[in-house]
Amino acid sequence: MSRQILIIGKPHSGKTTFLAQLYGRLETGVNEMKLYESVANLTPIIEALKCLAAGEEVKATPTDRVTGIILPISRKGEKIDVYCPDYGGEQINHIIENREVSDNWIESIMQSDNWLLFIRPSNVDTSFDLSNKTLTPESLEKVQNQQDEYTITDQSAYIELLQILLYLKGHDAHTVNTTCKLTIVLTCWDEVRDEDYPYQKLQRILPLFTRFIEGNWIQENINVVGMSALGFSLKEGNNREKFLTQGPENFGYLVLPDGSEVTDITQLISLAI
Amino acid sequence: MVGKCKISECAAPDLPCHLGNEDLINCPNFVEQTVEKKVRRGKDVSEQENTVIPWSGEALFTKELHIVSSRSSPILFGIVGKADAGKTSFLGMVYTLLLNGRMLKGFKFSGTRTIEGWDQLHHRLRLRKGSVSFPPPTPVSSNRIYHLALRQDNTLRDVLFSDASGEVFSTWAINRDDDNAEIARWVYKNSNGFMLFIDCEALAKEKNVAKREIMLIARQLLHDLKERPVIAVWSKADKLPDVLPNLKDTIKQELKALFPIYNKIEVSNFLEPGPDEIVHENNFAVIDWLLEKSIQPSDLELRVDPVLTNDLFLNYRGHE
Repeated sequence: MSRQILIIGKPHSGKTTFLAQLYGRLETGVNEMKLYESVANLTPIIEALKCLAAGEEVKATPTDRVTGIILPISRKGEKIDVYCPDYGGEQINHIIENREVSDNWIESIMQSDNWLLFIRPSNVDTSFDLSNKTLTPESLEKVQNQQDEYTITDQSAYIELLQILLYLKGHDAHTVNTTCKLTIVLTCWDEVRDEDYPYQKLQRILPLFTRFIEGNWIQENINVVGMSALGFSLKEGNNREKFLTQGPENFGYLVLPDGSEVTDITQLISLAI
Repeated sequence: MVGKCKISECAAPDLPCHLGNEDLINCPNFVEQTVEKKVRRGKDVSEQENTVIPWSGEALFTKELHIVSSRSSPILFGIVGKADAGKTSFLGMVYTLLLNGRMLKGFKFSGTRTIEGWDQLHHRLRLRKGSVSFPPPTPVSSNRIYHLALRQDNTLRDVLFSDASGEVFSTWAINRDDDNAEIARWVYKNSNGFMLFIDCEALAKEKNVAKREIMLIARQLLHDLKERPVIAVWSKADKLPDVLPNLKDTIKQELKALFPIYNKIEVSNFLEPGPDEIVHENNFAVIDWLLEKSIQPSDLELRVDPVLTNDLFLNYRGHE
């Protein structure tokens, strides 16, 4: 019987890049974690593996794909299946916008007590900030001339997503969650790296969402980490060369909750358990 | 007919069309929902069996309150006041402050079943230094209810805010049995506490005419109030200096004399740089006070008299 870690993330949150880098680490067999059997279907990450080997950025996954991927990992004899039912992330948007959840997702939610939620801070909209609500006369005029199209804010969307997942999990809203562990992964950390610890960063970019998880999980079951699965941008030629000559599996890092940095990104799996 | 009006304030088809069209098919703003629309996103997704989430995320109608009341006895706060008094803007500012990480005193945020409703209020709130662009008026036929799930220690509190049109309260203030005041009657009957909105801008412009309307609503609030708290919310308080001092003082004295559990506060959406008490602090202080007055800790201990009988059934106390 294996434990299942569920990877959740909107499109372009870095799931595919992480899975490809994780697979690369597991494949070498030199880490504490290994694959306990070969991966049945590598299709979802094969393009990413090829790109990274060539020192190229991973292309955005077509979001209409709903194929899942399972990485069967063993750690000290314990079997852990890292499962991403929707590596394109489109179903996450579908859940929030259309308020429908596929049986595939429900089964995944029911089977996993360890959730990894991928959020890319540089993609998060912070228009909730009061300073952004203060318009200049010019911008007000521009806004008044525009069709006022509404799209849900990222904060509200993430809160609603977790509310829906908790509901499907059968969580009793009267109690704080003590069974399901939630690890928030702030991806592409190299894009937003500063003095903040990951938890502080989450509070800064998604304050109400942070309040929401604090109000629904016991503190011991929440982890917030930063991760740069590549370590740096591959837009620069020097960096591409490093990947090409040394192998992508030798790059990337994780920023642990205490702010310390480790290069072994497989530690994310240990944290999530 | 299944579908939705393009005008977000219109509650059709749940309530009559805001333009008065008896048959919604004749309304240019109404979009009928078809089966094709339901599956508009990616074939791969829609081909699977899907479970529909039982709440929409939008503000609740009264007939949908079971979504919240099935799990607890919610606390409802009625937001009362004439049209254009800033009631909807107040709620928009509350959610904007929540999004910024501000929290009600003594509570943790546990979620909301109306997150899209709140988010839309936030979206429509337009601020700029020196003036505020208010959201469109709330339709007369509409009573939108917004929800917050709050956790106090280990207890879940479901809190609801009713946002009905100001016109229904003006009608109700004159005749509480008026056919067109049904929503106001519902709010009055079911609320655990009230925010009475006093529009400073209207007071500054219309003087005693505006006062008359405020006091009519206030007196109607009194008729079956019992121990329910009332807080007078002086909205658009940046215009308070323009209100005649004697008018302001008279209203304050009269309201204080009317209500047994009473408080007053000034709020505004007028934004100054830096911490701004009437924008940031007081919007939450309104709810803090109502919650404090509505959630009374019970000092009563349940005492069970000893049963003096030989009946085994009546003597059973469980596994003690």
